[in-house]
Amino acid sequence: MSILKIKNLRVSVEGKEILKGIDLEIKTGEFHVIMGPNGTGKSTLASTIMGHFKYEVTDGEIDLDGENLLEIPVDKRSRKGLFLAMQYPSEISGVTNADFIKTALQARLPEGEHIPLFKFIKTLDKASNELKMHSDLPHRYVNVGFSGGERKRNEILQMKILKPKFAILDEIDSGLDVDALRIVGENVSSMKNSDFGALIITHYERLLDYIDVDCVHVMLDGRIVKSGGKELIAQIDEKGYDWIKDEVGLVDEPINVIGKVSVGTCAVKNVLDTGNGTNGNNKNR
Amino acid sequence: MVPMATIKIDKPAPNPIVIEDSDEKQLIHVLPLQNATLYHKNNNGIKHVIITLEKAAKLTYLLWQKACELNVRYDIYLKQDAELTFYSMTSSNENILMNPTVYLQEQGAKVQIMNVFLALGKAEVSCDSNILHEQGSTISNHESYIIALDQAVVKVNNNSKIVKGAKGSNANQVTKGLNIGDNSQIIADPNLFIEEHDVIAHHGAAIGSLNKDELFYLMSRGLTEEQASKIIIMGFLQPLLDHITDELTKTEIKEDFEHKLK
Repeated sequence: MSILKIKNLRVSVEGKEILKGIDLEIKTGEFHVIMGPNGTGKSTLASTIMGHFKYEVTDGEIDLDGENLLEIPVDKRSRKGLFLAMQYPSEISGVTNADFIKTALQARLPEGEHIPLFKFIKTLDKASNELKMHSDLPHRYVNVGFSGGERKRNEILQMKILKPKFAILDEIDSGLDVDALRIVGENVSSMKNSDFGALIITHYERLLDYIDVDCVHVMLDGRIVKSGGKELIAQIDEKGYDWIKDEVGLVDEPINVIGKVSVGTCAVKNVLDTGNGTNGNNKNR
Repeated sequence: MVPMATIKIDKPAPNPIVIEDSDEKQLIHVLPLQNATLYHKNNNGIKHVIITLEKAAKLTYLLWQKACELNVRYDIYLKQDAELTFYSMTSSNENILMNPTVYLQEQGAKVQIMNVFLALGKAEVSCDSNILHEQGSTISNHESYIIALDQAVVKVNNNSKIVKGAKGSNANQVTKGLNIGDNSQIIADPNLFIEEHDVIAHHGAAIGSLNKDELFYLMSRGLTEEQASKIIIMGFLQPLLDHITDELTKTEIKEDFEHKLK
C-alpha cells in the first residue's frame, strides 16, 4: 500500500497566498473527492502536487511513501507514481499520441529495457476501445484539433496505460457530454484497486454517479473545511455551499469588477482580482 | 498518373539548370557531397545556381545541407504558369550564407519557399530570401522556420516585392522561430515591398522559446526536461518534414536533426 500525505500545505502565486494550510492523506485503494466553488484553490492543489513551476510552496509537505516530493522535479514525481489529468491539457504538435505514450512508458523502464511493440499496440488499442475513442485518435498529434471531450478521454487513456499509484483528476468532467461523462466515469471506476488511488476534483456530483468514492472534502478559501462520506455529495447537490460557509463562518468579500486581471486558474484569478489572499469575488458563480 | 521524376544530385550538376516546357521534376541536393563539386564558383567563392522553369514547368527543389560551411546564391526564373517548390533544410554549427532570389517573370507563375534552419554551436546563419512579382496573377508563399541553440545567431531577411502593374498578385510570408540557446539569437525581418494596389499580401514573424506549459505537460508524464524539449522541437519540425516526399531523404534529415538535438 502507498500513501500520499499532504501536511499544512501553503502555496502562493506572485506573492499571493492561495492554499492556506491543506492537510490530506490518501492511500492506494481509496478514491477521494474535493469539491468546492470556483476559485477556492482546487486546481492549484492539483498542480502543486504535480510540481507546476508557477506555484510556490511556502510551507508544508507533500510525501509519497515517506519521500518528500517537494524536493524532486515533475518528471521524477511522475515516474514515482503520480499522474495529473489536466483541466486544459497542452497541444503538442508533430508528436502522435501513440509515440508520446510509448515514450512516457519507456521513460519508466530501466536503461536498456524496451517496450515490446506488439504488446504496446494491443494495450493502446484495448484502452482506446474501452474509452470509445475514435480509431485515428492515437495516431493524431497530441491534443491537436481534439474536442474538449476528446482531450479529457485522452488524459484518461494515458492514465490507464501509465498505471500510476495516484491520479489527480482536475475537473475531468468539464466539457463532457452525458455519454462521455459515463464512459470516463466508468473507466476511472474500473481502475480502483489496491495499487491505485485517486484525488478527484469536481464541481458537480454527476461524475460521481459512476465512481464509488470513499471520502469527500469541501474546499473553501484555500482550506479543506469539511470532510465526510458520500452523503456530502447529495447535500451539496441539494443545498450548494452556502450552508458550509455559514457552518465555518466564512463571509464573501464584496464584488469588485473593475480592473480585473484574468490569468491562471480560478483561484489565482480571484486573488489577483481582489488584491488579497482572502476570499475571491466569484465564489457563488 | 506518371510519378514525378526524382533526381538526387551527387555529382557535378549542369548550371544553369533548365526545366523544359511542361516538364515536371524533383531535384534533391545533398551537401556536403563526396568527391564532387556541385556548384560553379564565381570569383568571390560564392556558389551560384541558376535555374529556369519554362512555360508550365514544375520543379520541387530540396537543398539538404548539414555540417558544412556554405555560401550559396540562387537565381531562379519562372515563366508563364511555372511552379516552383523550394525547400532548404539546414542543420549546422558552421556558418551559412544563403541568398535565393525567385523571379516570377510571367503571369500565373507560382512559388512556395520553405527554409528550415537548425543552428548550433557558434554558427552564424544569414539568409536573404527574395521573391519578385514582376507580372500580375503571380503567387508566392515564403516561409522560414528557425531553431537557434547554444550561441548560434540566425538572421532571416525575407523580401517579397510586387512591382507596379503586377495586378492580382498574392504574396504571403510566415516566419517562426524557437530561440532556445543560452546565448542564441534570432533576427527576423519579414519585408513586403508593394508598388501595386490590386494585390493580396500578408506577413508576420513569431519568435519565442519553449512553451513552459507544454514542457510541464510532457514532464508530468515522466519525460525528463531534455526529452520533453526534444519532443517539442521535433514536433515543431515534423510538419515541415512531412512536406518531403522522398522518404529516404526525409528519414535522413529527421535522424540528423534528432542526433543534433541530443
